Amino acid sequence: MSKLLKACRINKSIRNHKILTDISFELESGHIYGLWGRNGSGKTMLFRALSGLMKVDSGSICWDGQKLHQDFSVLPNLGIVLEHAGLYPNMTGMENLSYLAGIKKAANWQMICEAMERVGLDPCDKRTYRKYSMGMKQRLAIAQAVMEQPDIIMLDEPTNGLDESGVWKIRTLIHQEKERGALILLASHNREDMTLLADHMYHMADGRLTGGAGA
Amino acid sequence: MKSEKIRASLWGLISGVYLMTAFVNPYDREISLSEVILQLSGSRGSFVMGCSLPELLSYMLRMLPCYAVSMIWGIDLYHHFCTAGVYVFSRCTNRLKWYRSILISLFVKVCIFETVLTGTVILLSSFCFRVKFRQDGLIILGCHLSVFFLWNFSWILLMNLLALISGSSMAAVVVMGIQTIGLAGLGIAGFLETRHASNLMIEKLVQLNPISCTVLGWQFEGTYSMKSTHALLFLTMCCIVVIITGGILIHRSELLTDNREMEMM
Repeated sequence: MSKLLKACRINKSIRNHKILTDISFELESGHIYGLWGRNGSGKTMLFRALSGLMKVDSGSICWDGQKLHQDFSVLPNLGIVLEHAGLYPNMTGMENLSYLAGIKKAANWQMICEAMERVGLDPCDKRTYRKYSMGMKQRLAIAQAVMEQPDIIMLDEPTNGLDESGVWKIRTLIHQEKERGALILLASHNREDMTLLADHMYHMADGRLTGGAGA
Repeated sequence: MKSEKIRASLWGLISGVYLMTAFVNPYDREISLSEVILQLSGSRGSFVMGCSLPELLSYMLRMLPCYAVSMIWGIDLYHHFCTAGVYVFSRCTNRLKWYRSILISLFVKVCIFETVLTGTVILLSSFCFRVKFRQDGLIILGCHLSVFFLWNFSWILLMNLLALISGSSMAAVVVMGIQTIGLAGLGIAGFLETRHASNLMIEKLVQLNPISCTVLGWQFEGTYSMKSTHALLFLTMCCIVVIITGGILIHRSELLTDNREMEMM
C-alpha cells in the first residue's frame, strides 16, 4: 500500500528573509518527483524542512498520516543527500557509512558494501574521505542515503560532480529504488536531468512552487 | 572509539611526565603520596596565594594539560554538526539519545586521561623518589581524580556547546578567557589580603571562583574555609548545569541552519 508525504501551506523565514512561502503538495511512494529551480530558489531549504532537520514557521508536514515534529522529530526511514553536506574527513568511506549505520542499526556490513558497490565505490578502499575526489564524495553521499533501504529518498543535485559513468550508475540506482517502492524526491537546477528521471516535476522560484505537472 | 581511548591514554602519559618533572619535588628524596597529589594541584607545602605573577604563571603552567585536552576534545561534539550533521541528525529520531552517547564517550575519555595522568605521576615518582603510601594519601588521590575529572569534563563540554552557538574559535577564546579571569581572581584575592580587606570578603571571592576548587591544598588545610566536599559539590553542580544546557541546545532543531563554521543557506 502506498504512503503519502503531504506538505500543507508551509512557510519559513530565516533572519527576516522569507525562504519558503506557502508550499503545499502530496507525494506518493513508488514515484520519482523532480524539483527544478535556479540556485538559491529554496530547493535545499525545502528538503531540510520536509526531512525535519529544520522546523517550519507555519503549516504542516505529514508522512503516512503522522505529523512531523509531533509524532516524530525527523522523517522516519529517510535517506537524504544535501548539497555541501560532508562526511567525516578522517574516516574511510566504509568507516563513514558504518558509523552512520550504527545510529539506527538498520544496515549491516553487507548492506553497506552493496550500497558502495552500487554507486561504483570499492568498500575496501583505504583512502580517507578527505582524499576522495568530488565525484567519489558525491557517490559516497548517495550510498549513505540508500544503504538502509529507506522509504523516502531526497537527493539534492544528485549528479553534481559525477562523470558520465557515474551519472549512468546513479540514474540506474534511482530507478531501482523507485521499483523497490521508495518515494524519491530529486532537486536540481539541471532541467534535463529532471525530465529524464522524474515522473512528476515541480518548478521552484523564490521559495515558492510555481508549477507542478506530470513530466 | 578504540583509537580515541589510545589517544586519551597517550595524552595522559605525556601530561603525566610533564607534570611529574615540572611540579613534583620532594624535600629529601622521600615524599608521601598525599604530598605528590597536593603538589600536582599547585601546593608546595602550602600553596602561596598572592598577587604574585610567578605563582599564577606557575599554576597556569600546571593547568596546561587541562587547556590542551579542552582544545583537543573541545570540538568533539561540535564536529558532528560541522561535518556530517545532516547525515547524523536525519537518522536521529531522538537527539537526546545521541547526546547521551556523546557524553558517555567524553566521560570515558576524560576518565582515561585523568587516570593515566595521575598514574604516570605516581609511577614515575616512585621510580625517582621513595614514595610513602598512606591512607590519607589515597583519600586525597580520590578527591584529586574527582575534582580534575569534573573540571575537565565540564569545560570540554562547555566549549563544545559554546562552539555550537558561536563557532569554535570564539568558544576557545571564551573558555580560556574565563579560566584566565578565574586565575587572575586568585591574584585579586591575594592582593586584597595584603591590603587587610575583610576575611569574609576574601573567603567568598575564593569560594566562588571555580579554579580554587582545583587547589586541593586549601581544601585539606581548611584555608579560606575551603572544604573538599564544597569543591566537589560546586563542580558537580556546574557539571550538571552544563549537561542540562547541552541537552536543551542539542534538542533545538534550528542548529543546522545556525552553523557558524559553514553558513549553509
